Amino acid sequence: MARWSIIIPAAATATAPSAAFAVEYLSGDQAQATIFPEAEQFQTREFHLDEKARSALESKLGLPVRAKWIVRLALRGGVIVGAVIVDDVIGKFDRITFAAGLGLNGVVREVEILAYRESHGQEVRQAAWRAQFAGKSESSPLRVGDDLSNISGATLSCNHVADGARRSIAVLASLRSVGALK
Amino acid sequence: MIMRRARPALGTIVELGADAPINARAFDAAYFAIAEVERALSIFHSESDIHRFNAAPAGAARRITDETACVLRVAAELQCESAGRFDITQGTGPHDWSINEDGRLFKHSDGVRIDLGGIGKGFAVDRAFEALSRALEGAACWVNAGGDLRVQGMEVPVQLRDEVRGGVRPWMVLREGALATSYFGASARSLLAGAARARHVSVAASTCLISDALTKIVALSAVDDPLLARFGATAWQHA
Repeated sequence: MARWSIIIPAAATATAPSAAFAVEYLSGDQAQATIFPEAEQFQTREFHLDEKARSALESKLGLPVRAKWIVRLALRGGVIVGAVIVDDVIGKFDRITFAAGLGLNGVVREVEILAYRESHGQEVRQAAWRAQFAGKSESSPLRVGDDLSNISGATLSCNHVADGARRSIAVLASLRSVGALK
Repeated sequence: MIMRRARPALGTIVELGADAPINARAFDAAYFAIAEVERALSIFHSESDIHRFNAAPAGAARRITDETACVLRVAAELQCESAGRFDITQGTGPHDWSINEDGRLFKHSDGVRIDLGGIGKGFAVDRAFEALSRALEGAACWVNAGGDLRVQGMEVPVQLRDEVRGGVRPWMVLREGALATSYFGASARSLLAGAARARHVSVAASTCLISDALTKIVALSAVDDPLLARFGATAWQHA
């Protein structure tokens, strides 16, 4: 009656050394088009939150909020219809890149995972290893599906993604409320 | 051509994969199915069947969604087959709930509380998988929500995550069916009442609902638990 089928290699032992792992799902450009399919074009703009706005967001969210944000504006008919922030958070053992979108009508759109990485805890603590990814999310080449592997493990820590998405949406909402996204 | 997408859902990252050139809407259908299950089963959702059951007084009877009815029927079967070791009320009243053929859920005591945390995620993965498979007209695909993986029609290499130190190691290839892995330890999100030490177990079965539920049973007993054979499942314990 077993309706499952597996192949376990002979050397399925616990002694095999663990390895790093990475999957890239979407590039930033693909993610913005997925979140705002109605957009005809996108513009990237840099915003700096002033100290008052920044500290207001920090106390509202209970999270650190940096001043500089790169925002991807979705345009249709020359009018901004929404905005996307691509950002990173540290998961349990590594960096996760995501994109979060806010419609200019104030409606939160989808949150998409752009890249997921898993490494040794030791590697995560080594700044040099992490630095190789720095800035990568904004220029990731399309590499969807070049590694089939799936991770089976206890629930992947997603709290940081939820916090990061909440922060991106709050930053976009703050920019929208002061009329910066026009 | 393998297509993959990932979104945060079910308190984790839910990844969908398909070995077919597909429309993005096929993925949307799967994520929509997950949202529906969350709405029906979450104890945090004030409109959910489970939240309403927990808030209701003894004697309450209410029609529930097909999703909830499906999970509760399997939960009742697991409870019966495991002689009470599987208990969605976590001791608050294992016999104080019942469901009839019309999909009405009855509450028999004030104190009974249902929490489907032990099987809800597996069920949501099954539903997402069914939606994806339908949209793909049965083409090869998979759904992976961290600990719960369901596959059809293709060989998917599975790597086991090191829950203490990080990193992954090659473990097996799943080509049909479901695989659930759970880690129960001091630092883990899933805590297991009664487990004396950290346990890291996997169960393969025909659906994620069953494999998810059986990891909890196996973590408290052993990988040769007789209940596994009853559901056509196999378990492994990881060092």
